Amino acid sequence: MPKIVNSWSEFQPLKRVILGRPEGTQVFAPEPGSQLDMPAGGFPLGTWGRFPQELVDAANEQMDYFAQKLKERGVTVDRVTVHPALAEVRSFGTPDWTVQNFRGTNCPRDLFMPIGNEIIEAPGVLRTRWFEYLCLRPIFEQYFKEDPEFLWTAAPKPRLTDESYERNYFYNLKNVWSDEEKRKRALEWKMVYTENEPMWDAAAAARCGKDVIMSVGGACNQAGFDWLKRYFAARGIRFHQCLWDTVDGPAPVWGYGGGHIDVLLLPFRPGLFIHNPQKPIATPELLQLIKQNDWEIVDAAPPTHVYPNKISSWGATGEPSVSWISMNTLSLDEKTIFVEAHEERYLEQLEKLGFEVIPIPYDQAEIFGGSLHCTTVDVYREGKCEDYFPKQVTGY
Amino acid sequence: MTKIVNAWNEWDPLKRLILGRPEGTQVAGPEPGLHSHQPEGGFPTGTWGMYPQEMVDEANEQMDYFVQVLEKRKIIVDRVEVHPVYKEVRSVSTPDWTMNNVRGTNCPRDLFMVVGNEIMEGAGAQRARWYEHLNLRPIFERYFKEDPECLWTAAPKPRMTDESYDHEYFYKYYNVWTDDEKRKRMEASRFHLTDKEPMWDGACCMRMGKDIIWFHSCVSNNAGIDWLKRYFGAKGIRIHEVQFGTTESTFYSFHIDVIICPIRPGLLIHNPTRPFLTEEAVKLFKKNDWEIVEAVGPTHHYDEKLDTFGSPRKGLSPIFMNTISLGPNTVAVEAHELKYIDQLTKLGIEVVPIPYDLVVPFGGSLHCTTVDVYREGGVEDYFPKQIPGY
Repeated sequence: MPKIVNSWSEFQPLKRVILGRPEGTQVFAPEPGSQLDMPAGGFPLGTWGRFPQELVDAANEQMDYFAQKLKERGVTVDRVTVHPALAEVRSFGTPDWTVQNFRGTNCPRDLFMPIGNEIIEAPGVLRTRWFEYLCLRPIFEQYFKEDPEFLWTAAPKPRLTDESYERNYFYNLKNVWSDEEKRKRALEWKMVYTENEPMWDAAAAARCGKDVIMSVGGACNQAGFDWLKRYFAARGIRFHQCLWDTVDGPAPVWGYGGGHIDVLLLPFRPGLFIHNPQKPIATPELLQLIKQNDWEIVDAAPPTHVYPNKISSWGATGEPSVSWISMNTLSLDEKTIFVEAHEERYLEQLEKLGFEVIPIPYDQAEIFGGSLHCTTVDVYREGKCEDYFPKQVTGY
Repeated sequence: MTKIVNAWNEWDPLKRLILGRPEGTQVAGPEPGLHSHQPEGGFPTGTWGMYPQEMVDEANEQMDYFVQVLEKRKIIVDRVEVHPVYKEVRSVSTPDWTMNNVRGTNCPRDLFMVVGNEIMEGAGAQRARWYEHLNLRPIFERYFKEDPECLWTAAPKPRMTDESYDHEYFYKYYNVWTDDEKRKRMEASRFHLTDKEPMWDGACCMRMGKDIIWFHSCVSNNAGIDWLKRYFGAKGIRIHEVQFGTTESTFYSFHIDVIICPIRPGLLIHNPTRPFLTEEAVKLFKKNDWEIVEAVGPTHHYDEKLDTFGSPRKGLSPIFMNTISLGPNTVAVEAHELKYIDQLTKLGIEVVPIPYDLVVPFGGSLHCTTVDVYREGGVEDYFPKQIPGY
């Protein structure tokens, strides 16, 4: 019987990966969980629908190249199956709500989290992604049949009624609150989600063996973090929360606070985090944990590639700009990293840090919601659950 | 900080439970997960819709009395909240299918399972019950907030596409197969579910500390039992699969709580019309000095017009075994089941009779309509002598 699912960290040697599919990606319709303001040039404000086919083709070309490079390095690649419901603009819902369309399935990282021999379906924060697991089910069913040690689990699916969202949050954000107020709210873990039920995205987690750093606020509410802490403590895994401050820099920031951790802080090898300097860590206990276990935090070199920002599945875009999506890399092992090929300054920095860098052109795939880390789920990495942080911080 | 969720077995002293609500119960529309054949007098064959209000009122009267008895015994009762979608006949769907209506929420036992401090939403096998968790969420959200040790989990929700069902099963069952053929299928645990994805109802289990007996009925498939063994195996809980035969002429059934009932450590009551087919299960009980007592059988003659499970009960019914223990020697039993009450009394058990015959048409009796949330006591090993490979 083959062992298929085994993935304890972001950097142990990669042998098998799930990769998304750009087909079916749509600009999603308004919903309380996200603010959408597409500028002229993409979809006009307030509209939604399918991505143009030529964008899908361009993304596919880059993703096929990435898949080929992964295979050349001995990594098995499983592609997500696009559910027929994503092939058209159609509404769907639960007895609690209806939304006009789906978002797409190019970023499985956001909602599916491997921890060791377990893959858990996350209680994602958006209605337009509520049924996204349908696209992953053929893969999970196959793993479950073939790997007798695979634990296929799910967090209770959140209801996502209006009570799960702070009413008028985005209106206040755009029109009422001062910058200082916004910053304060982010630091106090007061974002668009209420505490009605546990909600979290899987991409908010950075896995380092027995310890998982969870970016909270933007894509994980307090109930969601509480849920993770309880659930994984019973399995001997320690979850640590992290809040983020925000400072000016070369790239625009996506509001105050932070959401998915894979543009904020990523472990590259035992002892080394790469960190987005425009998002200082606002949780002192995390800094202490990192320090007292002799890990180093290196600030990432600023991004270089200018994205046109005409269309994105992820809402707010605007003027052409560089983006911290440069940090959204995938490690092949402790010494080797796949990095977006246009990010020259970052490539150079990582080489100087001693990494072999494999450049992957991915700027066309990025438009579909994320880059090399977002579009993948690392299913099998060699090695077991290690304790990289034996000196814990009490109460954290 | 309160401890709310803690229930490791079926008999420790009961302190808190969830009780269903008959409001919103409907005869479910046709679906591949259930063969519905409502006869004349109730809903004609092939139709569906809301239960008549007078039946709801009668059921409520009996359930309210049950609540009074529980509360007198200092047992906290949390009532399910009926979701608005259950209050009318309206369709529900996922991107994979649409159902004409929902089934009702009077039997939370069927889909929700408590194992220790964990309350799990099951991977139920019927489309008409896919959204039933919405009725329980206000309760689960509260438990999660108030009890910091409560683990609120869920099995991955099954897709229930057409590939999850053997489409000709019920047609062949009623029109083609001989009894012998049906019996063979039952003995081989082959019913209308395929093994495309894990599916199981919570009411297929009997919890006895470190050991859970799991009935491979027509609402649990191989993949589901495999899933349960992996998940609970990782927590040190042993799942034992069991199959039963029948001395009667129905060759598929749903839930274990009309077949066996552990009354206290060492005593199992068994419905003799459903003989054990799994020898290892009998060995497990015997090797650990459990006594298996055959139930005397039902007394009450049902004359149902409607039932959510397809066939209204006419005459005697195995539902008499569907009891709930209030403590290791105290059992609430349906009040009309005089023979069974007499038998249990003679076994030295305190019986609390509860009139519940008018609730039964809503899908089940005292065990089905409840979920025991808190029972005093921890996880014990009642079966230290295991059967190798079982």
